[in-house]
Amino acid sequence: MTEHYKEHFHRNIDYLVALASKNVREGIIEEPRAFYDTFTLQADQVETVSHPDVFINGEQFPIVLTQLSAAIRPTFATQPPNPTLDERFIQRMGLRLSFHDQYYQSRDFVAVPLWLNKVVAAADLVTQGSSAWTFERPFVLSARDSLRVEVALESAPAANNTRRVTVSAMGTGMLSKRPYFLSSSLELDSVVPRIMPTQGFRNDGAEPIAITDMAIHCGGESQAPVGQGDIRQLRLNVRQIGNGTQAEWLQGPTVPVPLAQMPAVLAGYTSGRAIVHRFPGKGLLWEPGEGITIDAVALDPTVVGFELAVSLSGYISVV
Amino acid sequence: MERYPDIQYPGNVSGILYEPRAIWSIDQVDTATQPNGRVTFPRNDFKNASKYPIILTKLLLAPVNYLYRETQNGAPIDPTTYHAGGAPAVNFSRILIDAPQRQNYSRQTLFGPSWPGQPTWEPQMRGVDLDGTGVEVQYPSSLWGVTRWDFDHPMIIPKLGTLELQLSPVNTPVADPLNLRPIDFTVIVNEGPPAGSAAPGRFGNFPGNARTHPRSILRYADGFSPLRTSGQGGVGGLQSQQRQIADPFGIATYGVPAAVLSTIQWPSDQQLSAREYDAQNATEAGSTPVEGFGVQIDQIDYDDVTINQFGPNAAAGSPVSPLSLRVASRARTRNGGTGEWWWRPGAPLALVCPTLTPALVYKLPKPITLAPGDTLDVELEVQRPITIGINTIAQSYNVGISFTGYAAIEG
Repeated sequence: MTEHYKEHFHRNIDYLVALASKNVREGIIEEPRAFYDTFTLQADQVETVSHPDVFINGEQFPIVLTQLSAAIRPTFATQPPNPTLDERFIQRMGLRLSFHDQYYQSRDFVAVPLWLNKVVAAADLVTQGSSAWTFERPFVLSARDSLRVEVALESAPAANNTRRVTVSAMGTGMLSKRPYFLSSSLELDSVVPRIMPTQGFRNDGAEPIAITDMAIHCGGESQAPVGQGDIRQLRLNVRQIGNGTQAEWLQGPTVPVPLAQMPAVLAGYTSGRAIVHRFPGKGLLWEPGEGITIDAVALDPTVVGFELAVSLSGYISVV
Repeated sequence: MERYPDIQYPGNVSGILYEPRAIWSIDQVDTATQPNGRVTFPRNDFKNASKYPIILTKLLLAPVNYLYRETQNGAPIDPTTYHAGGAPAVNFSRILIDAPQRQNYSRQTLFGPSWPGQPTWEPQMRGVDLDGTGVEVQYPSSLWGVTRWDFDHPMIIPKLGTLELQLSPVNTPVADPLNLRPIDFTVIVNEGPPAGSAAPGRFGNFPGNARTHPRSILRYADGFSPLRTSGQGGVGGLQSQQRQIADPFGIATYGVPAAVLSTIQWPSDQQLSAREYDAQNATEAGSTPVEGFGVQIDQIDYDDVTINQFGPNAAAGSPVSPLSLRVASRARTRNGGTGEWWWRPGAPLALVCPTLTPALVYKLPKPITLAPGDTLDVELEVQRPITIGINTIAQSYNVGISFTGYAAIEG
């Protein structure tokens, strides 16, 4: 990402609020979107292809995608030692986007870490357990609107333990320009998906809020001596209650195994532990029905059987 | 005939071509032999020897050629008398930069951490807990092993132009060849969307492109070769500007099996070659804006064996040093551009990758322009020996410094 692009994608709050206000006046809804899938890597050098229905715009309006993220999805249930817990092995996986015989970034598989063109390191103390996502475009949370946030753990905590999950949304009042901080927490003790309390996200004020950021944290087990947390333990999905499109923001595979929530580590587009690639220029535009496939490959036999999670993020424009 | 590409690319001035440039040096200070704790880097190392002005935008500072990232207490050094290791090399060193006859960049020497660092690190990787017991094995050098440079200005490469980027072998501290583990590397060069493209990419028109050198073995240097390197490309007296500086803690280098060994400085298979670059995306028509490059070094197995071999020499919890601080590099354009090396060959990779690097990166508030023939004076000063009780605390550090930016080429 050159300096030019960094400046181009500056985040001036006056600009963002003006943009959101203009959209309201003109009846345009812009909402975050992400598409995600997981790949179990086959034999060494054998490519695995995403399901054709995952990375496709199934809605009636255009979607602009600006970023890609990738991380290992560990298998927590296996007996130790469990190599899939070692995040470093993503160095031995390759990735490419394909549309018929068009490829990105290259016809050759590019090692996943070399997709990284955005520095996303969070502070040491929270980096294991956090993901932060600054939306490409703010979305409008109208008065009395809320968010429906569904969360699930990848593995159950030990007996008599819980993990505290916190999801927060930050924004600016579109009239007063005062900051708003909406947040909700939940203690999870099993892998059963739960809906976070919606009152924490509800806009109880008298003005719409332009929401610009989201932060996700998955804490450590309540009785564990290390309180770092582990964002890889969490999956989530989000949609708006009230206005907006009413569609799930995060869209994943339904076959062969439905995965209704996105691994939360993939949402670390701004800071976290996922590899984040920002598409050059203004990203990818998907008209309704358009999409691509993503191919993954094990570049080394040591990662055969590992699960790689990949997402594309951006926003939908309902015009 | 095309004199220069007729390209308008955002951020670039029409008629000017840009190429990345870095000037760099490394030096060692040992207060046992230099009681004043002060060295001046050779002026020639920072000289603009080309005929184009070089604009420097960032300063990089790094501990070079250490086995461990933070602390290291290898024989024969007595840990009570030395601040030993990669982290102290930056934290206890002070730097003075001076453009001769123009200005000092600071009035006095400044400690490394005094320079406000840019966020250029990968997420922290303290340890791996494969058993899920909460007990981490603390050794990994990094999470992803990536170094990267996104250029200040895209470099326009003409239709038939190419570039090459080469890496050196690396020394091993492992005594028994049977314990050697492979190190792999991958190279990528990123190209942006076509100039003037204001719309998002569409089908069959992805917004950019990359050319790669696939995952390959990074060879170990033959410890008995007269051309062996200490990791940063120095070859002793053969090239005086590339001084060899050994690991400061007596880590020996060893001969290794021929399969992974190299006796030459720049092995032909350790590069993204010009031919390789040209062969990829051969249907690309017209000039392309090169936006940056990245190198990934997979040293997972190397980390594992290093900690097993030398664990007792490292203080508890000190991770292995990233090999990008020990692998030398060089790069240039071919068949277009200036054809000059972007930096004096032999720079540790981490010193020429200001976007993502284990080095400390400082963005110069005002870029330094070096006209042809200009140079910088750079002085390194460490704490003088002090005696506390019965211990005299001496210092011995290897520090690398570089400035990165671009050359502006007219016509």
